[in-house]
Amino acid sequence: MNVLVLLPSRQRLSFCYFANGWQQPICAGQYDDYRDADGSRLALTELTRSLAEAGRAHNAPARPDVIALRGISGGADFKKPALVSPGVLRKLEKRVPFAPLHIPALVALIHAAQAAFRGVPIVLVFETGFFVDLPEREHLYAVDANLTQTVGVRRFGYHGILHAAACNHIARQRHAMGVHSPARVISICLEPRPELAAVLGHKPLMVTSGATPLEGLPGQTTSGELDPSIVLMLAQKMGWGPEQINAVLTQQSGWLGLVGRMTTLPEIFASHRPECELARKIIQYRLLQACGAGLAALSGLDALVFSGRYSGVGVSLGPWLKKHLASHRPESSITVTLCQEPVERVLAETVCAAALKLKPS
Amino acid sequence: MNILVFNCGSSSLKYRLLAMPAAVELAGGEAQRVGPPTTKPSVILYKVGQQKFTKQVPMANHAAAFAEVMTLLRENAGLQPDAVGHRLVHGGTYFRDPTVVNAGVMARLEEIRDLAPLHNPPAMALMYACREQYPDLPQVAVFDTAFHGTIPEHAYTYALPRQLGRELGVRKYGFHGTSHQFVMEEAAAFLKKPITAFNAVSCHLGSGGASLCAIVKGRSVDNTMGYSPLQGLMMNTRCGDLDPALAMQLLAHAHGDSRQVSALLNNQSGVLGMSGFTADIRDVFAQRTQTQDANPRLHQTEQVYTWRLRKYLGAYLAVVGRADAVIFTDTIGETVPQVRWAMCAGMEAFGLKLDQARNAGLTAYPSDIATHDSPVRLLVVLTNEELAIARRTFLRLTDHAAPIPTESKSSPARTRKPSPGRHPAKGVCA
Repeated sequence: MNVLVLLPSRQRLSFCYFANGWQQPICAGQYDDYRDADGSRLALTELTRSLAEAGRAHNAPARPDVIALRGISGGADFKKPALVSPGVLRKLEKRVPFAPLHIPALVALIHAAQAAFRGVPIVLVFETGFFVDLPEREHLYAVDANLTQTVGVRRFGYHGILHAAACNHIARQRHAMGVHSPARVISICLEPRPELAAVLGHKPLMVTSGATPLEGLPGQTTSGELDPSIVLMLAQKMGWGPEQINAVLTQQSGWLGLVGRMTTLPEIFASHRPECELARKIIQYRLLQACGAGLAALSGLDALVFSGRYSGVGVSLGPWLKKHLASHRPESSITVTLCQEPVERVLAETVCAAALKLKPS
Repeated sequence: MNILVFNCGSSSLKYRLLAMPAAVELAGGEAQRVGPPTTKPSVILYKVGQQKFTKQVPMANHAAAFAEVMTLLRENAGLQPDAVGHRLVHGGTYFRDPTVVNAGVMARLEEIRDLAPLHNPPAMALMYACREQYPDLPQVAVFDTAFHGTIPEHAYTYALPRQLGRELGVRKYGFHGTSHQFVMEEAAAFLKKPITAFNAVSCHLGSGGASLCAIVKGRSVDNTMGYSPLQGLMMNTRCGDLDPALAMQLLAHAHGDSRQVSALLNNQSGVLGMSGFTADIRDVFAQRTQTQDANPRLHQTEQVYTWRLRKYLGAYLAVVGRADAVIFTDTIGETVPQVRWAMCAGMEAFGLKLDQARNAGLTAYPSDIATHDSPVRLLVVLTNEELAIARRTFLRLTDHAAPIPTESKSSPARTRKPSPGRHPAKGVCA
C-alpha cells in the first residue's frame, strides 16, 4: 500500500511518501504557511507535483492509496484512527472552541487534500487518541470546574502514536519469549517536547503532559511543569499579560532557557559545558521522578522503552534510570528497548493496519 | 533555659514555653482573633498545668498579643522566658540556619517580606514588639524553608530563561521544613539510625497544607511545594500541580487580575473545589463510607487526592534510592489509615509492605505499620513544630562555636549570603 503521510504542526506541514514496498520514503519535504485554505491548497498543489516527479524517478504511482493525517489534540471523541467523512468533519467542527488554531488548520488541510487527491481515503490519527481512556484519577485537575470554567478540560498525552507503537513492540517482544501477561511499561518519548507514559499492556495509567503539552517535562523551548504561582507572579511583578507569559513559557524556556541557545537532547547529553551539564541533570532528574511516579502507578516495572527522534539518548539514559529504579531489587529484570523508527513511518504503518478495518462513519 | 516559642498565624498567635533541653512544657496557649475587632472578642486560651483557662482581652495587633502573653506568663505562673524562638515561613535566599535576631536581620527580612505575604509580616510584627519591649531577651528566627536549603540545583531550578530565575528569585524553596526535619529526627531515633545515614520520604499531610520531602543522609533533597506553597499535592483548598497553560487561561478569563486567580487556586480549589462541600478530606472519606454515597464528585476527590500522593511517593522513593523509612505525620498522616493504605499498597517494588492490621489499629506514636519483613519501615510519627523550634533555638544559643552577634546593621552571622546578582524575589501569592 502506498501511503502519503501528512504531519501538520504549528509552524509547518511536513510530508513523506512511502511507496514501492517502502524501503525508504521516495519523497519528503515541508511547507511553511499552510494554515489556511489558500495556504493548504498551495501546499497540496506543490505536493502533487513533487509526488509526480518522485513517481517518475522511482517508477512508482504518483497517487497514494491512502493519506495518513496526524492531528495533535482530538479530545475524547477521537480514540481510534478515523476515516475522514462528513460525520468526522462535523465532529471536528465541534472541537474548534477547544483548539481554535489547530482544528481549523486541520480541516483546511483535509479539504485541500480531498481536492488534490480526489477519491483517496484520508485516515486521521490523533496523538491524544491513545490517552482517551486515562483513568479519571489521573486526568482530573483539583479545581472546581465550574468556577474555573474548565468543564471537560483534562489531561492527555500528545505523543500517542509513538507510545502505542513502542508498547506494541514490547508486547511482541514478550510474546516471542512466551510471556503473555500485560507488560508494565514506562514509555519515554524523546522529542522536542518529551513525554513519559506509564502503560499497562496497551492501557495508559499515567502521563507527564497535561491539559496542554506545556505541562510535564521541560522541552526544547517549553518550561514544562511550574508552580502556578510563578505565572501569577509574572503577571503581577512584570505586568505581563497571558500572551506575553505564554510566549516566554512556550518559546524561550526549556532547554533553550537553561542552556542559553537552541540545542538538542543529544547535544545536551554529549556536551561537558557547565550550562549543558545543569540542563542534563535537570532532565535526568525530572525523568527519574516521572519514572518513580510511573512505577507507583503500575505497581512494578517490566520494561523501559525509548522512542522519538532523540531516542538514541536512551542508550545512556536507559541504564542510568534502570540503576536508580532498581535500588531495592538489584536482581530486577527491567528491559531497556529503543524504538527508533521515525513517527512518519510509524504513522504509515498504523494507518495501513487500520485502513483494512475502517469503514466510513 | 526556658524558651518561649511563637507560631504566628495571620490572626492568631500560638505559644509554648518549654524548659530546654529537657523539653518540659511549662505553659502554652493561643491568642485568637488578633487584629481589628470581629463579631467575637479577642481571647487567649491557655493552660496552667493541666487546667485550661480563657482570658478575654482586646488585642489590636500581634504586639498587643505578645504583651498579653508575657503578662499571663508572669502573673499566673511566675514564669519568664530566657529566650524566644520564632517560626518564620520564608527565609528567601538569605536565611538558612536558625538566626539570632538583630537590626541587620530585621532589615534583610523586610526585603523578603513579600515572599510569604500571609505569614512573614505578622511574625515580623511580633519580632519588632519583642525587641522593643524586651530588648535584652535573645530571639532566634527558625525558618520553614531552612531544612530545604540542601535541595540541589538540579532539583530547585525551573526550566525558565536563566535570567528570569536570577532576577526574580524564581526557584523552588520548599516548605514545612521544620516539621519534616523534626519527624525525620524522631524516626531516625526510633529506628536507632544515625541521622547522617538516614534516607526517607517524609509525608507531612496536614488538614490544610501538605507536602512530601525526599531526605538523603538526613538532608532534604526535594519537597513537593515549590516557589510558593501552591505547587505539588492537592490540599484542602489549594489545587497543587496545574498545567501552567491553565493558569494562563484563568488569568485571561480574569482580565489579567492575578489576585483573583490566586484566590481561586489557593482558597477555592483542592478538596473543596473538587468535592463542592468540604475542604477536609476526612469528611469525604466519612461521607463515602457512612452513606455509600454515590456522588461522583466525592469519588473523584478521594481518587485524585490519594493518587497524587502515591505518584509523588513513587517519585521521591526513586530519588532517595534505598529508603530506610516512609514517615507519615500531621493530622491526615497520623489519623487516616485509608490514605496510608492508598499510598503504600502494591508498592513492593519499592520495598514497601504495609501491615493492614497495624495500619488500621494504630494506637500509639511513633508506630511502625510495616510488616516484619518489609525492607522499608513505614512510620507514623507525631509532628511538633514548637518543640522543633525550641530545640533549634536552644542549640543556636548554646553553640559556642558560633558566638551570638551583637546589634549591628551588618550582614548577619551564619546566614547564607546571596550570590552576586541573585536578588530576593518579591511579591508572591503564597
